[in-house]
Amino acid sequence: MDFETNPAPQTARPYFIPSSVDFSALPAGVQMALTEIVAPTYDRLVLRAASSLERSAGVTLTFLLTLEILDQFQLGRQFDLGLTSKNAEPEERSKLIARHLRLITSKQTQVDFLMRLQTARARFGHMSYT
Amino acid sequence: MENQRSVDQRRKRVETFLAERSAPLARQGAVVATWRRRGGRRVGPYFLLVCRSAAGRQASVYLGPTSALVEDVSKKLAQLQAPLQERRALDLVRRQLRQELKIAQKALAAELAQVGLFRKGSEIRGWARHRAQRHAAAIGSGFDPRS
Repeated sequence: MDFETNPAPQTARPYFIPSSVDFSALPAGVQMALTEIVAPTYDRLVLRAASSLERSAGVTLTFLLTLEILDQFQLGRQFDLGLTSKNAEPEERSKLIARHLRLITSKQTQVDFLMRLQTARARFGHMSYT
Repeated sequence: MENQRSVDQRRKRVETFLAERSAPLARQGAVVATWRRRGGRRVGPYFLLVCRSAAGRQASVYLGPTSALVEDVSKKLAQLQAPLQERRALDLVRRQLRQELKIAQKALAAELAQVGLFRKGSEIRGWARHRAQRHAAAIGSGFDPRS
């Protein structure tokens, strides 16, 4: 019998992750994605938001992006045939894909809204007359 | 001192058990400690690898007292169940994040309401009314938004 050793991830916990979430229990790849992709997005869209409306939209977008990363990871596992081919049920896979697409649509709407706000701000100095 | 031949045979039996039941063991199953009575004395622990088949029938294989075999089997079991554990951890985090998202969406709805917009599903609606309101407010203040 041979056993692989799984080195413990050393990624710092991003501050926007709610305290209820056990960050260390997440797979190392997800931890890294949250730190490298979502944390800078949070900085830019929430911490440096120009208005409270943009900040609220930014928070929503950050959570949608975090959920998207979790979904992508889980979908990736489903297609990792070497690991989970026995457990990966086609029905479950379809369900995951459908959920992922709904999430993407939702995120895209949020992105469009934020861009509209930012365009309006750049044009008028505030979000009026959009 | 254990009989090496007996230990080797046991290891072989355990490996066969693991190979034949890798699917149910990936879902559940555990290494459990059992105790025996010998001459009025409680002796042990002696370990068993137990799992339940899809039909609900329990099966077990004897691992013996604390040994390298017990450690190996525990590690192998953890390895088999790692994808499930990972999935459970992700599902839990997803549920927690969904709750946070709901709170964020409520806050966003309140912000949107202040400028005459509202959420409908994932869409942001009310732009025409918003424009009309702002236009009226701008005219009222003497500012021409078309300029």
